[in-house]
Amino acid sequence: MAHERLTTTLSLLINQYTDAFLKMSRGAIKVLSTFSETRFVDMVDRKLLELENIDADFRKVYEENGSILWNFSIERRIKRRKLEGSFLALQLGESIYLITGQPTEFLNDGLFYLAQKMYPELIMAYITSEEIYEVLGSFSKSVGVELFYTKFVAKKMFGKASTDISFATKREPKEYDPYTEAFREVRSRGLWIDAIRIFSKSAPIEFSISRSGVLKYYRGTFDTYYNFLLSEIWGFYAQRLKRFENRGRRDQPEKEPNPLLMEFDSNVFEDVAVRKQLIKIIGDYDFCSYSVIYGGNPHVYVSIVDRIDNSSFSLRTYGPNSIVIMPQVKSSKAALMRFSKHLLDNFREGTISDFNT
Amino acid sequence: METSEEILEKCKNRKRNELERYYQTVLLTIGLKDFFGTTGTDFRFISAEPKIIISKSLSEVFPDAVFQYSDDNFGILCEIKTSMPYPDHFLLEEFRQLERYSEDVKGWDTPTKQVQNHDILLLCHIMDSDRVVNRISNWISKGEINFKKPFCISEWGVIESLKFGERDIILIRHRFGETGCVSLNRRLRENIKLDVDRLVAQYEKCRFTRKEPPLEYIMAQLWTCIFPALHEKTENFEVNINDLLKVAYEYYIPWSEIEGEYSQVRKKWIVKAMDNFCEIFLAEKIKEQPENYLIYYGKRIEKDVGEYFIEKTCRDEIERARKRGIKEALEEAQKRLTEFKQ
Repeated sequence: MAHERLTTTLSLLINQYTDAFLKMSRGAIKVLSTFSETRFVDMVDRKLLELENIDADFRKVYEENGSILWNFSIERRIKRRKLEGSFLALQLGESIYLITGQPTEFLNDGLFYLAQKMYPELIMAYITSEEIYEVLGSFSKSVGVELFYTKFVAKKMFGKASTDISFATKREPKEYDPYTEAFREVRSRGLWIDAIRIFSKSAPIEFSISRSGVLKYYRGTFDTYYNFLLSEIWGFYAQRLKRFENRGRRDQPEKEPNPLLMEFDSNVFEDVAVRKQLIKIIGDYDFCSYSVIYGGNPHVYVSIVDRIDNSSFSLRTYGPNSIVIMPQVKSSKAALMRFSKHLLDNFREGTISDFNT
Repeated sequence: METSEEILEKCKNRKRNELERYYQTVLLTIGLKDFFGTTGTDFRFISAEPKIIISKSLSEVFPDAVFQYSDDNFGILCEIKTSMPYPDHFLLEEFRQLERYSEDVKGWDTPTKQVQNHDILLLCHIMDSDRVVNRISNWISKGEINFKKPFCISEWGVIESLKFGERDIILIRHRFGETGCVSLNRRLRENIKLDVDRLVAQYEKCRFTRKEPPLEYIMAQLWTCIFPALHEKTENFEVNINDLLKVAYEYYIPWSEIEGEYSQVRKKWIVKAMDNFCEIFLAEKIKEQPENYLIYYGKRIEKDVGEYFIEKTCRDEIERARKRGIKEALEEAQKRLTEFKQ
């Protein structure tokens, strides 16, 4: 799953599309990073037959050595409202970038909607707060600029049933702190960066990046972000996808379980209320069926089915600070990605590794 | 008088409790296997699905686990109880069944299938142990019950274990009598602590003991683990009982490799669960093929299917009890009317 290089022609074609939007007042380019082993247009073709509320026109703009660029126009009907817009779909091997200059509403109700409908063939990956930190460090070094932040969204553990969002905004340019300060601050408060807006004082660079892997840039060119930011993010995606691959018991020699361990940085499960809350969070997981086999005293054991591709896995709290995710007979990487992202978004951030049985 | 909602809630609580206790029993059994296999005791775990026959009568007894001493001359038949019955006459009946374990039995893991001697170990839940020990002492002293082999009771329970380094522990503690093995008696008196977290992967392969699981337990296993293994999409599909069994046999492995041992999952449990899916309109029997079912897997039901099954089966039970009550009342009225006319 190597990250493909971007040719000069491709860069020019994409920049041509994005420039028009960036010249507009408050214009921004949004890039949604996804993954698939299938050609993007083939998936869209199939989905359009099923989805009555979406029409799409598309044309291939470029194709060379497995790199393909399509230009899409879609129209989605939401009750009495029509959502229209264009986007580019850039497929480079298994990575697919959906690029648009349309308003955020189009990103959320258009691109995200379409991408979700193509699950599990199309996987939306995610990165953690610590990975964002690493990616920014690497970007700063590669481009040779110092990066500052203008605002961030931080999240903490459901905070007894609610997610806390903090905004920190400054006024004078000299007041802005390096991005590392934002991370230091949230870490000291036991939070995680969910999204952060970054800029450079010396170069045309301004963007925001979120744990959902959405890049929004307000200044700069696609190839800069592609070469020094998206490729780094892709590295984390690829690691995660590899970890989630072939986890089902039917894929194992001797059909042994091949579990994953999700570790948190504090002993959250010492509190019985947190264990109960975890069950509630599983209940909020979209398109699933589940059964609570053991309800939290002293541990939680829940059997879960992803109702979209019928992957199944169990979740069990393990010790005071971990969860074991136990893939069952069939368990796809798409389902494990979706479920672990749900935990990241709604429970708390943790690190995932192989569980040594 | 209780309202129908209160009755329903009570039924649901009972079923949730049964389900959790069954899960605990599975963990306890895996824990015992792990304990005897890893802690350097003189015993080894033989099976949780043994076929044990009384030598004289050739009738079968049904211990929940069987252990053997390292020299294979001595064994233990272990009975695991998640709950002990009320009132006392039912409890006494339970012990009379256990008395049968005193006979010489065959089915051990030796070339002759026999051992020179064996003991009986009853593991009862911590919530029942005071009452059970009190009653059995009484019955033994009065001669109501007579175990011809050494008989020992220990209690077990899953406890939150801040004391034991934040781990979940199943504690096994001696309560009554002795086994014939000094080292095991010592272990039991020192309290055996089974680390539940150690068992997390083993539970994936061993989800059933020899006791029939609560209906909702096996329904949940079918819905969330076995059905998805057989069908790629969330839509209605037809399945044969033997296909379900095949998956169960393949992924829930036998407790041991002893010849003649039972499988972990029984066909009759699956049939019963499938019939219950039919009762709650989540499956339908195919008339022409009696072992085939159409499963309404595409049907939209509550996400928490475990709770859904519990609620549906409770409502079903309550409705049946109500109809039975009405029928009995009608029969009683008819009888009185006939008597009156005469």
